[in-house]
Amino acid sequence: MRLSAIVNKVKKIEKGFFALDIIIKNIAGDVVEISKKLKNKNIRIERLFPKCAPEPKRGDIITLDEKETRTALEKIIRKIEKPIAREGEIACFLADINCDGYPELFLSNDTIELVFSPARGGLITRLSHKTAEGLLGEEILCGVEKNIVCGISLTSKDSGDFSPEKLKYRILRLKENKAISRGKKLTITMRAKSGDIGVDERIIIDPQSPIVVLSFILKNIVKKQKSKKINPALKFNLLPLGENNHKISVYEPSGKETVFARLPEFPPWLWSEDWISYQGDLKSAKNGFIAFRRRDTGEGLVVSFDPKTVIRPWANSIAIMPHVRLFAKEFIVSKSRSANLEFHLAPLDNFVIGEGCLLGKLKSENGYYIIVAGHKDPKLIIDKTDVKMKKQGYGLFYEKLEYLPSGINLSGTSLALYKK
Amino acid sequence: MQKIKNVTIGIDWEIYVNSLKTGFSAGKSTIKRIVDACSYEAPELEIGEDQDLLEIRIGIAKNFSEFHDKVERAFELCSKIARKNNVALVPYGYRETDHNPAGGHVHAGSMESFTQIAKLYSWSMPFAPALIALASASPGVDFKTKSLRIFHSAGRCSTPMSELNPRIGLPHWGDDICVKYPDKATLEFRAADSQPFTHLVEEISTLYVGLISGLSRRKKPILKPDVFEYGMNRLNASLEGMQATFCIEGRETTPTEIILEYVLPLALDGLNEFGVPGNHFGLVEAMAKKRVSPADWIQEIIKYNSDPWRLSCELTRVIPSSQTFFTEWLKTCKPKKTKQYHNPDEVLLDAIALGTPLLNIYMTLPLPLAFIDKMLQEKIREGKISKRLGDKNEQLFDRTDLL
Repeated sequence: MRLSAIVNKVKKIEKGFFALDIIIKNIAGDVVEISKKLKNKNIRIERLFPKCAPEPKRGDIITLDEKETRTALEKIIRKIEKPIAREGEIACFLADINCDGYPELFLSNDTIELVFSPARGGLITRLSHKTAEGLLGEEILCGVEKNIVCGISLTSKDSGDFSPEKLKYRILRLKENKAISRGKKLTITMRAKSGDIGVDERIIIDPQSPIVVLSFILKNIVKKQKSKKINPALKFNLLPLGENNHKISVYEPSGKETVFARLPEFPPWLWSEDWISYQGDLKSAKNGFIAFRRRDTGEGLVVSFDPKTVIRPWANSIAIMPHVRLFAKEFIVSKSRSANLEFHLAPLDNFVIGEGCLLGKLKSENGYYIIVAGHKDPKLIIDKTDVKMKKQGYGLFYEKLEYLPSGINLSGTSLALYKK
Repeated sequence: MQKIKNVTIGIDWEIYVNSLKTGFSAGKSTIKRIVDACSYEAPELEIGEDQDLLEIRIGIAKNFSEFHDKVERAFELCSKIARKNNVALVPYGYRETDHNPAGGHVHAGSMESFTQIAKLYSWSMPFAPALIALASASPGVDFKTKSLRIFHSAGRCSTPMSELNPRIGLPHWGDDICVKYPDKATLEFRAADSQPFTHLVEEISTLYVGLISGLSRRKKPILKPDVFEYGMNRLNASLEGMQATFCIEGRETTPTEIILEYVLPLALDGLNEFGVPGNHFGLVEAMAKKRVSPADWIQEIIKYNSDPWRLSCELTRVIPSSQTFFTEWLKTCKPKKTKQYHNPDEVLLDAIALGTPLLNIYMTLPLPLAFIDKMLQEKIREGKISKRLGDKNEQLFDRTDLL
């Protein structure tokens, strides 16, 4: 996101250095319109202008770069402190966390944090351990290209007027703006409408689990009996433009790694990914999960799904903005039939993957979560003792340990995690 | 060689149309409105649109006076209508905000036989990188390239040349210097970036046409065409512009030397009857002597901050203002130093990660395919990369340090 403005006053400070009073008019490189909280606001910036170009004058257009934009936003909209959830608690907070003029939905338990942007099609802009950077930067300001913003979002393929990425969600039944709930799971529903289709994006977070449930319920909301075919997908845009392109990998349950390679430039008219689909498919059909990892820090994310619903996980690793899409089967949404799509996501500090399974860990306030994906009935083998795990979702299991043992093995596989 | 009897020139000058409210693309509907208005007022100027760009074509010009008149009139007309629509014409080579390349293609004609055009294609190969360097006007905001457009092969619209046998060869669309025969009977220079001002368009276009015409008056090639040398020089031109180091016929040289010692004299000879005024190539000479190109001027504008959005907006403010800023800068800027020769190894390894398909490498690198194949074999022998077959028998490459 960048702020665009018109120059109102110019003051020359010294040779080439000017102070400009500007009026914000627009934003660029984002999927939302400029917020009323930002439009027509006056701010002052200082800039160097080279002598080989005309000096700035009143009425000129000006676009603030990333740093100038951040500084300007924080001057206009007061930055708000996020609430802290302790053990057994969930914090839920609807506020403008990044000062872009739109409220974000912030959820956290004692281990993980999530941030959603209802104004940007329910985009998840942060999902990681509370203190870690994770795979996604929370700030919308990073990673813009052709108005695509980094994050996880519902998208759709060739569905006419159904455009989930452009939806503006409203939060349902949020009793108070800032809440700390104790002991119980919290379910937050965001609702939006796209053409004939109503979309409920539901988030379930448990105080005692590192796994977040993300579900989409798509229903036909018009009164007339009219069915509609849709092809939804969950899209992961994880790599901001300009970032080191060997930074992110996506893993199949077999252990095969696809690194997001140096971005080539495709001509703009070939930005439909389908033309290179011959090499994009990820093999995860039976196992029902894929994983991501940041190669520099080892931080990761595992995503689990019903393989009968999500039939085609696909990675475009050689796009300008590499991404992964989890394509669901075609749904027919009618007056009496809705489409349900559910995903379970868990951030990870580290993981090993192979033989169709994943064994990962995530540090918590008072211990460690061990997370397993792709195994039918996993047991952790710790000091020759079997530890049964709790199931959440189609194929995600977790267990909390008070301390990290020197080695943890996963039953029935050769996968093991070792203490460094 | 068969001399070109009737020298003609045509251009496809691609220009961004940016909104004066945002500094970014004004959108297709606005461009179409401008094109329709221009076509109504002056249909002979052949103003059109192409992929979110306005394109000034001017048809065929048979002498310099006609060429100059058409270019100036077309640009003035488009600018006038753009101002009425609250947008601006902003010609340069690459808009990084939406990865849209813009070229300044030049057609040199008129050719009479395939043999003639195929020979000129080959003979012009050693000079192409120098022209790319001179016409570079798309610096990357990371300051690593002077022609980001050519570094990305203009989205496959300006691809590296290869050898063309005049007896049996089949021309390929989209090469840096592209055979357009028999449909247009021209040899098209596609590798020039879109130039910010009309004077630059006129000088660089006539320079190229003059070069082709001058070569056609020779009995044998001036410099020996070598696709591997051309490939390396092309890469260096895209990275360093006029400060590049080239290798031609086995010896080190620079774009300045090539332009002043070969291209300019050939062009002046080739344009004998075309009617160019005396001292027509003032900007070209000045840029060659100082080892600068429009990319260096644009880099001066962005040197205080590297942000593609800020650049696009700033150029929207600067370029339509006045041509004199560029010419004044050219008079007063200090000559730049020649930079070190870039080994293609650097860019090859950067283009490979794990499981990188061969197609991706071909599309990523601004080098001829045969060159890339040769380099890949060398790197495999050195142990820096390894090759394997994918599930669909496609060739995949892995960088061994990432394994």
